[in-house]
Amino acid sequence: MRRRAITLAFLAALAAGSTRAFAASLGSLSTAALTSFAAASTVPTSSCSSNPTQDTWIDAAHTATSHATSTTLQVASGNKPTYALVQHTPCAVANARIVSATLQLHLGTAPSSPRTYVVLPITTSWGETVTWKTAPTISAVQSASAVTGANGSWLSWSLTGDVQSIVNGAANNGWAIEDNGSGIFTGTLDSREGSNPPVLAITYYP
Amino acid sequence: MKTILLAWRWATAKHAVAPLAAVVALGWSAVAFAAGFPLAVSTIGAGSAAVAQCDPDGFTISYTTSAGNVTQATVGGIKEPTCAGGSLQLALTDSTGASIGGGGPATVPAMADPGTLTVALSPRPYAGAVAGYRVVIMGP
Repeated sequence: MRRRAITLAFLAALAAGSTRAFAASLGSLSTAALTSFAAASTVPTSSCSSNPTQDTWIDAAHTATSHATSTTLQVASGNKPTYALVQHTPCAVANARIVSATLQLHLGTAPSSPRTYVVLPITTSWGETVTWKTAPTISAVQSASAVTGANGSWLSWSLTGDVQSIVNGAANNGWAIEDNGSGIFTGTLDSREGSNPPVLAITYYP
Repeated sequence: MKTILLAWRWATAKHAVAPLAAVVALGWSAVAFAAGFPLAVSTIGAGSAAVAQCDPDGFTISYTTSAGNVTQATVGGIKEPTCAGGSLQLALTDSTGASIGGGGPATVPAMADPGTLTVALSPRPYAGAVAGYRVVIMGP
């Protein structure tokens, strides 16, 4: 009996000792700190807007007349159309990534029926005193279109691609606004000399 | 357990064999104990690593962009001096949680609390793709 008790006690002591050694070895694992943190986050965009550096309208019925200082920009369809011309310097920094760019013009007097106004890039330089005779070249490919609303409403065109090209270094000659639909309709937009000048609003990542 | 009983019976039968049997039994029990080791480590290790943090209340982040890409990020709210000397790593993640850019490792310097640390990113992700971030500081 005595030997049995001694043997059991010996085994128990060994077991206890190995447990303490194991615990000590685990303790060494927790000495290195590890701080981990994760959170949702987005990179904030920048926004800016600008008014035109120049704008006017050209008239096929009065080919030598300048409307450089007019407070309105006339857009008319028909065989003697009128086009509005606007040019902005985009306020985004060079090479910015454009999230959105919207050209907005205030429709002072709406045409008698809803019309589709298209925006087309101007591909050659021009000055504000330009006339129908001296008109710059206008691209045949429209950038955007918008349907007219009521008097006093704002028309908006998304020009993200065009503005991205400009801030990446492409030529900037502004845009023409035309009504190429059938029939004869006339609307007027506020110019930069008017009470609600055109706006080019841009959201971008610098 | 069978091994232990067997060793005990041998010890009562032959006194001279008892110490040897005990050592053998201990060896076997150690092997059996080691076999259970991975389970014990995963439980205990996870607990101790999560607790030992130099900054338990998180971080802030701000970004620097160029041409629409994030070129560097500044991690703020770093608790000092407890994080000084630690190695900081940053990952920017997209909407799925996948890493799309990272920075570091960079050693957290000793500075006033709370501290900031700016790390350059490589690759430089499109700013619009960033939906989150992960900061890990190992040590100090």
